[in-house]
Amino acid sequence: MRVNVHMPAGASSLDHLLEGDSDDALVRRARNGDFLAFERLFERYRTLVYRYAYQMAPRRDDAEDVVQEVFVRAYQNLHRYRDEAKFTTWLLRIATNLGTDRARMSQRRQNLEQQEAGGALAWMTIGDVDDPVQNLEAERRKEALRKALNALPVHHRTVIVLRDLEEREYPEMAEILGCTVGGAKLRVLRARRALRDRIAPLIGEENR
Amino acid sequence: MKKRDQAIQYGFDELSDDEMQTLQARYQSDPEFAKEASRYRKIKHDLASMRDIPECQLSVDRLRDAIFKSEMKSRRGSLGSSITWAPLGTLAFAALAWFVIGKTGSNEGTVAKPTELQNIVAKNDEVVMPPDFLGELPAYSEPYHANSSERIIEAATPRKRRVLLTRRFAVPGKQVHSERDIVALKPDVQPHEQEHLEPLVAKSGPVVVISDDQNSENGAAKANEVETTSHVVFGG
Repeated sequence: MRVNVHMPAGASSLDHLLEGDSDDALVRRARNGDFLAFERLFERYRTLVYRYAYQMAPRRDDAEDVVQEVFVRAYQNLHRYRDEAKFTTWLLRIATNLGTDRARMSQRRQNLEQQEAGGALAWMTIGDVDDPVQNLEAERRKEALRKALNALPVHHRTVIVLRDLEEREYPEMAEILGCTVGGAKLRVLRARRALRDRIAPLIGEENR
Repeated sequence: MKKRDQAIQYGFDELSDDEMQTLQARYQSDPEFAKEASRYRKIKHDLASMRDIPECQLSVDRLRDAIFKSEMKSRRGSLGSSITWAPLGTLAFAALAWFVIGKTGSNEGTVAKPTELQNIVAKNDEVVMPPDFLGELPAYSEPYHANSSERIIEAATPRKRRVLLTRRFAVPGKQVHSERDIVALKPDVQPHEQEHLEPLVAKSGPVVVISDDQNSENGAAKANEVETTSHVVFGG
């Protein structure tokens, strides 16, 4: 694949570096065929998208597939990206649309596997959290939380991941979800309620 | 807002300072609210701890490869749609060409050279002709232009010619063996048709007829030379 590096006419190298560091500048260069600029965007936000994808479908290979697909689609639709939105917001919006279907499929597959293995595989799908110093109670709670989160309907899981794991602000969430800020707040509230209802029996608490 | 929802907002730190103080004042003596709020705070904490995830292994090379493949796929897709329409275009063009050539061929046939009929090599091969091989053939007319059907007759082997001529000048129960027989068999042959056929017969050159009989002296097949093919019956 041919890679071009564009230097704006009349710009000094320092200006170019500073200007070239911004997302918008990289997007502009990528739009003009500079694949190197797009690679920089990928390297910058790969982890962000991966983390989000992984929380939605907690399997490394699934999450990596989602990340790949998100960036492929982003590259194909760079001409549709409007500068008024943040590039990360746009990326997460693509990931949300793409990840919803993936998460549903992953959830079905996971349920089936756990059913077949009598729950023996459950620990494998929780994630590769490697933290032996945590006490058993905290570990048990976290495991229950992961199960509860995975058992949530995708629309609830999406807002929990965005708000409580990715720590996105409500205005940005509204952009990603395509709703109002008030709508985003209401969705988060409902999702937390649902999560609480799911986790209570898993940790031996009663639902209120 | 319900008490439960307030506990959620409190536990997840979603309230402003003023709202927090108001709630604390209201539920100060409510251990149930404090317990519920504490549960949500733990959930929030546990969710935050779930941010630690395995490292993303997706490389730039893999992305580049995926983008390259997707580009190729989309190009193939657009090319594929044009390929889908290509056969229709080709068929339309072929139909048009067939129509134009067919028209031209029937109107501008080459002028037949009667002497060429004499040069037809006598080959005794079997020809199986379908009943409607030629269909209705047009009558001769002046000036004589061979159409495609007639050119077939000219170029045909003797046996095939007999079949074709018999069909053309069909008389029930009779068979045409040569052009001369046509005149004899077909009582309604028009003068211009006879005029056309006679020269063909008259101009037929000498031929050597080899029979199945053997010469008693040397054992070779008997051969007789005749001046014209008009009295010779071809065929096995």
